[in-house]
Amino acid sequence: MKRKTTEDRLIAEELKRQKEKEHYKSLKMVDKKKYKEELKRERQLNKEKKKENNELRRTMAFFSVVFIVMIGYYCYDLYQAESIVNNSYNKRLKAYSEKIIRGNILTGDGKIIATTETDENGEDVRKYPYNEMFAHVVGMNTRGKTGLEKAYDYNLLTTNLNPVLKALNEFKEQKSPGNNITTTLDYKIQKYCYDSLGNSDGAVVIIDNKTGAIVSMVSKPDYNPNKLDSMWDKIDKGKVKDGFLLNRATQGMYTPGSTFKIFTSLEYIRQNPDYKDFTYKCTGTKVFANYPIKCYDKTAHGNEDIEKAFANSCNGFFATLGTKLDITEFSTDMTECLFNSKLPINIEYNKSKFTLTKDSSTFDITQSSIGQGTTLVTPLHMAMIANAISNDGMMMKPYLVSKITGCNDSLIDSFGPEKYKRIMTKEESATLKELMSAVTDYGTGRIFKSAKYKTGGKTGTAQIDSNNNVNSWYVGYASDDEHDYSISVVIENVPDGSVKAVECAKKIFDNIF
Amino acid sequence: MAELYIVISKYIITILMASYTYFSFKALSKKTEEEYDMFFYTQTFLIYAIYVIGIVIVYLNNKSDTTIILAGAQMIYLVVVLGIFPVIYPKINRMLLSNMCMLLAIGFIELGRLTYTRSIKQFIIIAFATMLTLIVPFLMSKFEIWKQLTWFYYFLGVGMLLSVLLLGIVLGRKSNGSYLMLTFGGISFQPSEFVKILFVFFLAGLFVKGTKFSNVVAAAIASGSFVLTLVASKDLGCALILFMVFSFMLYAASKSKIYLFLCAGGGIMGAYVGSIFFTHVQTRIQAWRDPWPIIDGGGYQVTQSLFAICSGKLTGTGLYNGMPETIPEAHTDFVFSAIAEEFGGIFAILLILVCLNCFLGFVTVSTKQKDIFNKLIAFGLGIIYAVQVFLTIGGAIKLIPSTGVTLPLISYGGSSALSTLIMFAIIQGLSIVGTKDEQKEKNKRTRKDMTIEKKNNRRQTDRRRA
Repeated sequence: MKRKTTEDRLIAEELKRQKEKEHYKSLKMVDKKKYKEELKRERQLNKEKKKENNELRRTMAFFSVVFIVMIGYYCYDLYQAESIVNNSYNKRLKAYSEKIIRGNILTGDGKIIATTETDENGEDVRKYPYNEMFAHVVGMNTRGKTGLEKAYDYNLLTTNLNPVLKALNEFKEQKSPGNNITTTLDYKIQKYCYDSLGNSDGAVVIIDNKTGAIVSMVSKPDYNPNKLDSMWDKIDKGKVKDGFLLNRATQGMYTPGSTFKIFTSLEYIRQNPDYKDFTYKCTGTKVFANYPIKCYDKTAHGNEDIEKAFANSCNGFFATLGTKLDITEFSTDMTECLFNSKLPINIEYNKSKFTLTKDSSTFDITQSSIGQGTTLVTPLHMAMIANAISNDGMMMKPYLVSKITGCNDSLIDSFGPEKYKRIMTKEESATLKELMSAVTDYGTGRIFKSAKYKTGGKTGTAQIDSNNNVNSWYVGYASDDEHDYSISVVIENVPDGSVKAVECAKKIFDNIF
Repeated sequence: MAELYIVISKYIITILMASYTYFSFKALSKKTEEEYDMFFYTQTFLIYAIYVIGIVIVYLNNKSDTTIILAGAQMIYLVVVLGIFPVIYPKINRMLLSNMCMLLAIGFIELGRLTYTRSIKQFIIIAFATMLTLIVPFLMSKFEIWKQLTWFYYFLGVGMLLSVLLLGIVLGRKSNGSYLMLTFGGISFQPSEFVKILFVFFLAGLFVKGTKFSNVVAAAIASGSFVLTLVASKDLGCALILFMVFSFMLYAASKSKIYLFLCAGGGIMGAYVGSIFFTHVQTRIQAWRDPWPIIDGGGYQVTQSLFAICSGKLTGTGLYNGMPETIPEAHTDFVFSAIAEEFGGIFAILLILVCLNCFLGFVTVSTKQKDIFNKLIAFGLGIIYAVQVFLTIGGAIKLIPSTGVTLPLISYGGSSALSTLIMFAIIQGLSIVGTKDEQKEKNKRTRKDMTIEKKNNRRQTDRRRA
């Protein structure tokens, strides 16, 4: 078939239009009425035709919206891409390491705590210059992945090198450098914590109160990440202490002992505005439901109000408080305080446990009120609570990584302070602060008395077995004009009555301030 | 230097695709003939360009001579389809034609990259199928018998589905846990792909006689039997498509929103009942709501798909730089994720838009039909297409539970390709009929105008005489 050229078509169209115009003109001249009628008829026809396709048009609009929603959701997927991609089930990560030199991990003050070196065989080996010191928080990259190595696996294995250069590198069979991660960890503080904990098993977490940055995280027993391969053989032969890979700071589930009295007090204060009027005479033991609750060494503390009892860590007092609480409310408030809940952090952790319900027995209630029983907490969680108390009730979101940088130190992503959640009112936090400074002024933590910095805290000893061995706890905060930190220390398996955790905390704070 | 070429080409392909999408939407609101021509030629060029750039990467990677032959054959195919169809059928809807070729070209590249041997088989099927479909527009526009076969469509469709189901149960043959395939002498095909089309013809045949209540009930019962057979065969994707087709065709034919709401309510009830009675539905729903805890089991597929999509980010890794082969069924149900990983998110979004454009094109053809039967057919086929795209892409991006549906014209699968090509051919046939109708109308009107004019002239001359 012969096609008309466009010019022909244009001319034809123009002619037609002129013809129409003339036609209507003539109509107008001859018969205005008829002309109007004709117009009307035509309009109606058009309208009907449109109406006829109304449903089709609506369907088109409907599916257009559906498809746009699809595009929106696609973008949403991409928005969370990093957290999705960073998964051990993603086989791509392994493939990346063939093209990328895994990036460095640095402390906040610029010390490299994990780096990649090429050995004489041309193979990449992960090196940790400070050996055991950062072992758990940095984690490992061989034999499975843990810690920051796992949480930022994707970032360490990608590069912001421009794609053309990257392609050139691949062509030259050179690996491109991966992105570096700067943590919030402070080398000096980490060293103080590591040294102060000494040979004991346990964990220390320190959080910067104003920002929520985790400046130190130590867990013992530890391991040398550089010698993991030889360690592995020993593990197979059963020569190494069990559980040394566990990051006790976030995964260790400990009975909180007396440190839990912080929560019992908070709840009592919340439920009883006249809490100051409640007094109790401590005789060293008190019997609840046929089970005696003793104070340490059966010391009789005599007449006490809440402040004195808190300072002395009087078990009888707090067990009595426990029996006066509305347990349902207690339970909801504990969920608010992040028990049985997720923590806002992206390395492995365990959820703290609180199991009281309104059907719990008096035994369970009294035991839980003094931090024994089935309640379990992680050191990180307790540090976050101390952070909230010293921060007027506002818990900051704890974070470990402050920025991700690419080649030539170009900034890719940075993370700053973020308020996480208000877990108590300003007034409640002020009251708790009073209680906690009573502890360090004249109570169980009085070794802090001479400290030149402002401080407060709560000690704890948690019975773990019948052999009189306990876990020693300290949860507190300290500040001067420059710094403001919260701390949580737990030391495992020390003889009963030990104040090891407080001493450890004091040593650390003395060093920092 | 293959690496460098791949990296640069991914940007170029994205830009070409963006301009293609732009033109396809511009063409939707019909401009003058001249502009329309321009759009078509530009689009044709863009399709060739994308195809050539992509297939060169495939060749650079497998360096096999058969790739050159295959590429040559596919190129000839594209040139022939884009060049010859408009000559045979001058009134063809060229926008839909170029969309079809664009999707096919993307499919050629992606399948060549994913499963090279399968891509050869797929291409042979597509080539033959296209030749077959060449006569469909002719059949559609020349014969009027289609309206009379309503119950024939029904029995053919249900018969095919039942025979698959029964044969499947008797012979105990399953594919991925559902009864889908019929095998004759080595060639297997999936009847449900063709049943979709029969179903549209059946409903159009019913509704063309009006949407009296009795008629609607008959349609509902008949559709129910289709859907239930499919549910029994565990082909939930297809069951869902037919259900949506029924709802929207009923809405279009009856012009009543009440039916649409009734269908929506019924659909939700059906989905709820299904999720209670079928464990495979439960696993899919669970894998959709939170696949991460069951990443080892039911959530494996969708999480692998998300890994692919998210590693692609906006610009993609470039062909062969990703690992789409880690997604199970990457060449069929999850081909979209494979494309998204290596071509990138922008390309993937553009692809969604091109699919939307296809659907809008289908329905636009439908709006132009004078004959209600034809109108309903074009509309129903459009719904099939849109729902199918939504199910497969929505499943891949975890917007909805995955239903195991292919992406038309791109996914591997002979039956799917053939049936989609038939759908496009039917629409083209109707499009030709539609433009004929328009032409007739225009002719009529000009004739009327002429008679009026004559009258006027006469009057004028009369006056002058007076």
